[in-house]
Amino acid sequence: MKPKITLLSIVILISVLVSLNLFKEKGLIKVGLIFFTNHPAIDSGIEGFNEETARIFPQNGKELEIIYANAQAEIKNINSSVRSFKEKGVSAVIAITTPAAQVANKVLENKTPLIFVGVSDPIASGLVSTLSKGEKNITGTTSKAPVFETLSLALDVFPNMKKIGIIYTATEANSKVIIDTLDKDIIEKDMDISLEKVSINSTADIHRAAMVLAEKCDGLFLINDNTVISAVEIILKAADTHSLPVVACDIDTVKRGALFTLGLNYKDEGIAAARLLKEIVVDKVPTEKTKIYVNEKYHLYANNIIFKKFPNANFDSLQNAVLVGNN
Amino acid sequence: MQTAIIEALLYLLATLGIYTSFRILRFPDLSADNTYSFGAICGFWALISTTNIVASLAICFFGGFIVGGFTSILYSKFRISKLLSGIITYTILFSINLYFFNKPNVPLPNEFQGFASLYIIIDFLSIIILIYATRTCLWKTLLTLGSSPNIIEEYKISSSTFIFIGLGFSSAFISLSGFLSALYFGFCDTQFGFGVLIHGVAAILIGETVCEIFGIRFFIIKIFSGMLLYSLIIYFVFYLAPESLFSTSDNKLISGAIVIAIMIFNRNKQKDLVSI
Repeated sequence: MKPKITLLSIVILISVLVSLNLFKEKGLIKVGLIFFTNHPAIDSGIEGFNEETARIFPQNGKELEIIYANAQAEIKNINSSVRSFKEKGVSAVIAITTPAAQVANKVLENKTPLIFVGVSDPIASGLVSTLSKGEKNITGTTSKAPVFETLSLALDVFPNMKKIGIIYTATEANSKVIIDTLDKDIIEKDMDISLEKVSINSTADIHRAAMVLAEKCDGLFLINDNTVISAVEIILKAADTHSLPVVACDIDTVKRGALFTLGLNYKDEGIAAARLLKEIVVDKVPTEKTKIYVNEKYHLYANNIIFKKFPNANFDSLQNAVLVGNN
Repeated sequence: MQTAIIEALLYLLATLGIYTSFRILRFPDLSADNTYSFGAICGFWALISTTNIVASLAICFFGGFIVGGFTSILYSKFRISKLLSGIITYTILFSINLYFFNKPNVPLPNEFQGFASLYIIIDFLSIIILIYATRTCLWKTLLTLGSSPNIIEEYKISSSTFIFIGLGFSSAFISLSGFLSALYFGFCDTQFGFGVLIHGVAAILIGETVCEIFGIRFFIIKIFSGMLLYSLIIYFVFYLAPESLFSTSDNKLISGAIVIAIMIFNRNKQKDLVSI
């Protein structure tokens, strides 16, 4: 008796979900959007993508249907959701972050166009072999984060900063790339600073790492590391106890309390992805002929707190900054 | 359906490993998530340096065996509790996994792309070997060790040796499963295994409640049907959940609710997974 009830309840549940799904208005063009997890940079990428698609397809929902999927940080889920996109017959897949793009590439088997977004190094991730144009079914947007430029700016504003603390997640491909390039640049330019690097594995380690660095260093530098950025408030608090400056590499973090940045706006990448999507699904340009968009548009943002907390800093290079913050 | 079968086959060995440690040995080995990533990375490292698939499968298997053995030594030699020794191994593996390539994400070189379907062959081979293994004395000793350790002690059998062997095989299977799915997806990542333990435990419980009629000897059928059902649930959640009603991040909520529903309808029959 019992197994029958179980089976019946599952069937009822699934049929309810199916019927709810059928009531939806069907668009002409379907695209799937898969992202690894929720995080300010990813969210602003999606926001940019949504705004631009709404502009390109003014009757959004009638011409274009976007199916969103959140993998909630599990690679297994990327597989399930991209396969469900395939079964729904999408004409393109947008994959945000490196693992999402890699799994989507495997699952789509070069048949459906794939647009990757937010992949720091598409070549090292094995997606494409050159950054100039798309390949097979793959194209996308990437960004060259102005990490070194931001660091130089930080040294301009705080000339006494010699020991700089960096927290990064050892398990994130993007962070490793950023740290390696930064190390190389500092040696090449022969700069008189030292980087104190601490690697963490999860959000739980951030507080410890931040406290250790705050005692040792003259300032903290935040790279675009998913785990670190999602818990940036912890680091800001630790820096506050030793009144250290915290410089970030993206605009969202400055809005949350870091001092300033010469950062990328991930919205730009989302917008570029929406334009690529239009090229592929509306203008029917083959993927190999599209250009991979490299985001090099830097925005100078500063938080108002800096004037209150560090009145002695050198503000000359921050004159053109867009100011954010409350007071 | 195809997706669910592929997923069930990819994660079958890992779930068999989890079953061995949780159900048969009654040892809640929490290191499974990182052992899975370890297998993926260790196997890739071996494949890239030796270019021999058989050798790399063997290296991956024995690497996993050492990981499991390490956990068992922590427990039986140093008297660290079962849970904590699993957690210690889990933490250590975070660093070990980064040693192989010194970076967290490595794509599979093009010349090895042909091994993507290897998982089917290895799965069937392992199932056949396991069916034979259930008839051996080793298997029966492990079962006894889990259910009534006192008997083992009375017979003057060293329980630490058998915990070593049991946990070693459990981790070796998890590690092998990680390597096979890394070959299938074409890349390995240190975050590869996140969620494997929870999925495995859920699949075991679902399989055992749904296929109650089969005895303990048919545990492979139970596990496989549990995997299949759980993969189907996840897939349906992704495929069917209407966006008008749920947001994209509700998929875990829905899959959780479905699993709860299954468990509630069978609540009279279920046993505890493991008593800690």
